[in-house]
Amino acid sequence: MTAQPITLNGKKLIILGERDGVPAPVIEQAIAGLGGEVAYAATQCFV
Amino acid sequence: MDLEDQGRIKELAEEFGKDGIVVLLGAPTTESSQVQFETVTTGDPSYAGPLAGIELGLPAYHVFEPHVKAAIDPDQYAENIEILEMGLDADAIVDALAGMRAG
Amino acid sequence: MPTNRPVIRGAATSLAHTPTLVRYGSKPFREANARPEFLAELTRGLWGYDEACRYLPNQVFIGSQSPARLWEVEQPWFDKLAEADGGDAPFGHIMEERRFLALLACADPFKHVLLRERFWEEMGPVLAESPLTAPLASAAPALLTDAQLDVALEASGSLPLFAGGEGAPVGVVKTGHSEDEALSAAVLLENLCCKVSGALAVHELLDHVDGLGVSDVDLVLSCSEEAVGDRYQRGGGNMAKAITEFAGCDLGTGIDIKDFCAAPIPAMVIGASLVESGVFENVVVVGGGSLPKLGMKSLYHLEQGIPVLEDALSAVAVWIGRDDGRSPTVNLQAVGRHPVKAGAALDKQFRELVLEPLRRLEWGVDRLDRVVTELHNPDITVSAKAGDVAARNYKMMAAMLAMAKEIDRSDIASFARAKGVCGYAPTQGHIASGFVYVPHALREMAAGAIRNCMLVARASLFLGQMTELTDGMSVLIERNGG
Repeated sequence: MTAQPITLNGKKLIILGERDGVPAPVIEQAIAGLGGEVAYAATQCFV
Repeated sequence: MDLEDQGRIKELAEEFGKDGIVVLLGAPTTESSQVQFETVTTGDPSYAGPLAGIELGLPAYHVFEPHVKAAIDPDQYAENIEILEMGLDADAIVDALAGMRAG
Repeated sequence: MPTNRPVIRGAATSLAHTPTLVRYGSKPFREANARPEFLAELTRGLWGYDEACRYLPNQVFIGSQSPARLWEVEQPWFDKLAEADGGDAPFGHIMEERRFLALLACADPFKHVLLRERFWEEMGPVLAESPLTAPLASAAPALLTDAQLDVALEASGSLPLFAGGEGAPVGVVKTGHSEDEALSAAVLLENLCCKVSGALAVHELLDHVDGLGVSDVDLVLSCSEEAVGDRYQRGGGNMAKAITEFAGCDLGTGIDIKDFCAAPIPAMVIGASLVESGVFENVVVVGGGSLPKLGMKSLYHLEQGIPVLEDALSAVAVWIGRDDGRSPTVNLQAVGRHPVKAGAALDKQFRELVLEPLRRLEWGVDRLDRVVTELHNPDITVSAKAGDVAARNYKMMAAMLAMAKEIDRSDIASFARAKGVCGYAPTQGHIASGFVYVPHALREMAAGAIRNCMLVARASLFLGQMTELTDGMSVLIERNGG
């Protein structure tokens, strides 16, 4: 079963990345062009 | 979750409302994903930050989740996220968040 | 025939067990300001010196246990203390807190750290009779009577120094300038902790290796995580020079190398390059301990009823010198670097830091015996919901290598045990960042267990909010003569 894509168009996006996971700039790059506006983006480092 | 982040998220939620916002997560473990999901939906589980006891109910997804993956251009996904997904316990993260949504 | 080819002629560690300084770690300090009752909870959660000495990760840190032992003993380790403290200390000692506090005052030329007279009467002779500490305790510290100490403790911005948990303070740290946050008591204490632990690591090195006297050191590179300076130049430096002076290396000089947690590897590469170029002959790369990191995960540890494990200031010193025909070489042809275009993602970072230098050497992964990165003690991080950092790094590295067709996908799960090391270092990022493993790498190469070891360090530059990038560097150490 194919999942329904989420709609980002017209949304304010809050991006919470992680150093050892997916950093915020990588998420921003991946979703560029999907219509959402990045309102806040941060990358955490837990060590 | 970092207290500074919680404060900013609270402000944005107050300004745009939960229907105007989507939260995207990139945490590397199930536990850290769960904490972040919980913080922006039912409130800060550590009761330390500005979102303690505040149910924002924001729609939140990990970028490994099928609904997000389906929205991202496959080439972009392959280039930027696929190896990270392979190197982390992505299935467990996806299952954990699905479980939290199911309640 | 000696050449300028750079080799690692020795390495040492120092671990200062400082439970009463945990309250001055960044997280505990903020928590105690918000909630004063936290200090009593914290004190109840701290270990004594005996327990710290019997803790397996600490024993591996000082070399009395091999890192292989970490694979054998099931995690967590905090509830499996050894019967004895591990006896000898091949790389360095675990220092008891009272000695360390006394040395803080000895290391302070501006007399902002003042000790209670009775405390120094007790500790002065203790420091003087130890070959490790005697050279550091030659300058008399500033002392206060009981009544004077009471007055000093009342002064705005001063911090009390305790020893042994409860009881009356044994000293005080005064603010360095009433209008300068860069010289507050908290910052001065942080910097002095780094200076003392760094100098201790240098002296452990001098005591543990042959051929390096205090007058032979001509350059010290500090890769520590502090920022020494004043209001006009925060982070101006130079911790390395301060350590060089305090350690008694009168003919040497010093420079700081900054790169967040990754700094030790650039420092080793720069040090090795300076040896190869002939500019300096004996370079010591030193990382002093980081006070702000103490108790970083203490809230999680207390919540789960486990000991507050971030209770020690860790330091490492590495001597890079000219080829002696025996010591492991630093291969400057295989320095892995992190170009801006590589971005911040971990897989891309490992591609640049691990795969690219191997391809430059035309090596397959099978030729690499050991690769070491970020050996944070999982006892500390798993209980804080941050997972096992070393294990995660190795899995990501293996996934990247599999995608690059350098290893088989079926080898991803076993990669960490085949090429890697289990985490054991305190969560003091620059120490954990491969640097901590250097003395073990030298020992394993001398024993013939490995031919080479790649050290890989990563830096979260985005924390400083000047760039969203990460950084990193890697370097390959090889047994001399192949």
